[in-house]
Amino acid sequence: MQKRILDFNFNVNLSLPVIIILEPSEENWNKIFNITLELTKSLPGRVEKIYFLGNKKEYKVFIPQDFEIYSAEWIRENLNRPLLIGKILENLSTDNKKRIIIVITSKEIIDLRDWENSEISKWIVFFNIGEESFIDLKRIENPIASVYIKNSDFVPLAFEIKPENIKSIIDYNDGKFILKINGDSEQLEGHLKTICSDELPKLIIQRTKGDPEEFLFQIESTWFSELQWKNIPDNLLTIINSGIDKKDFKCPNCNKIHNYKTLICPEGGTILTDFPLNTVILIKNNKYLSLSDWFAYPLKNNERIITIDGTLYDWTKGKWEKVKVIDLYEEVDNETWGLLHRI
Amino acid sequence: MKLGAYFIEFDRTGFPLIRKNDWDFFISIFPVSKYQFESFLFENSPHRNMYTDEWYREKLKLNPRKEWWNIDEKYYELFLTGLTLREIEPFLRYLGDNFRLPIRDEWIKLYKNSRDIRETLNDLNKIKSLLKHEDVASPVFLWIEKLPIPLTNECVLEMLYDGEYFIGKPNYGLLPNLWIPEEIRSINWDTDVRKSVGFRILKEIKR
Repeated sequence: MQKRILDFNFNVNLSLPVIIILEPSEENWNKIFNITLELTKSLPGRVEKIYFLGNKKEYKVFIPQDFEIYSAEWIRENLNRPLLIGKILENLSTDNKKRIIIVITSKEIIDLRDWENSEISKWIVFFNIGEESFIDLKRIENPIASVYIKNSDFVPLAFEIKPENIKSIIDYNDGKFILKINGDSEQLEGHLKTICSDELPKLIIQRTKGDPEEFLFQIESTWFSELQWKNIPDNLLTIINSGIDKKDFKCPNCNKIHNYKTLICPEGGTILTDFPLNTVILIKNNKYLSLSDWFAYPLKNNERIITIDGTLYDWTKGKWEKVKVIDLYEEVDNETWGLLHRI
Repeated sequence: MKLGAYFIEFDRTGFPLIRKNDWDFFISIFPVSKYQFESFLFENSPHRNMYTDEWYREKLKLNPRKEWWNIDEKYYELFLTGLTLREIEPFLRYLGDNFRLPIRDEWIKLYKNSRDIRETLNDLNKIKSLLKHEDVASPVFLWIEKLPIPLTNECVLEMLYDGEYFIGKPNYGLLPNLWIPEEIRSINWDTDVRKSVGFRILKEIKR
């Protein structure tokens, strides 16, 4: 399958919605009401809906006051129902969406063991009102253990992830690239230019409990400015061509002959004065291109990449195989040479 | 859906009913299970106030509930027992106007075709991918595969439609007895036999 370069964006809310499931008991209602009200106020905008054990009907909570206003009516509809949870969890399982499920009850739930070892059971937090009189919010949260982007042949050529305090690190392991995203934020948004085949990359969120959650990206028209091939300044052309031919050159600083590998004149000053530093420079047809903010650049019909630190990876046998760190003026593609401009 | 000499359909709880070509009724492949009856408890039935948490927990004391996937032993605990006709009727109405309890002859037809039905249902398991997931209750295929369907030989006693008689079957778990399935026994509700009596549902076909 021909590898393509695609541009994506994503915008993910990392704070999980909350579902509250209540015991519909008359004798415990005052206590359940107070705890739930406190909870809806402590988690503004996160409580999506309320259920009552024994009823699969959902009661939407658009604003925290909804519970305060309508719950007397809701409990009347549900008083003394058997404490069953099956159909509620069945409904919540259908859309595969991750949520925190808080169950507030005083008794054992009759059919809970049907759900033993299920994925959804890992997202349930129980509050026994006989033992606890308030809800410790720390017990509810399911913190993020890791966030990353990957697929089998994904290479992030360029990316931009917000907010600013988020740190992104590219990890290479066993022939695959993973873009790891570290930091604390409720919202995560970004743009990504990648090499991939038919399998599109996914954003994966792994929390302390439960299976990882996967998000697909939206394809977008390019967000990143294309890297420009610029004309090599006349004063550097001879030096560059000497480098490509692996021949000595006459230094414009000291007028002495240097080996083609010389990037700093012994008498001071960089030789390739107009080229940016600490990046790979590619040279082709008397033009040059610097990777600047990109992580990698595609070569050989997207079957090879060169990273900003000058490492070549080839797509071989279903993996991105690390080939080498390039030498100065190494040919990296047909009639294209690379050098890591670093002092 | 037609499978050999039988028609299969699913009721609104997602449990299967079976009809042979020449029968004028569909009868449930399993006695009514706790899982199935709970689908009804989750609904807003007009008789909801009859089925309280306390009521259901009392029923489960007669014959404890087990997880639907746990079928290695005591599988009769999957099925609901101990209900009175008055408690069953709203469930039948919920399923539809033409649902009722079977009478003796209808039940015997099911019993006599057990082996044939068992083989036919093996074919149902083979085509399960063709069925819509939401139409079929979670336990159905596992139970068809693992239980001695249609459970007319050893499971729970089953109430007949007039409320007076029961089909007797050997069942050493709930009620040690040696009845043969064809034998009809009158039961005294005052004894503790009620805990062993479940029921199957029947849908009449209006021709």
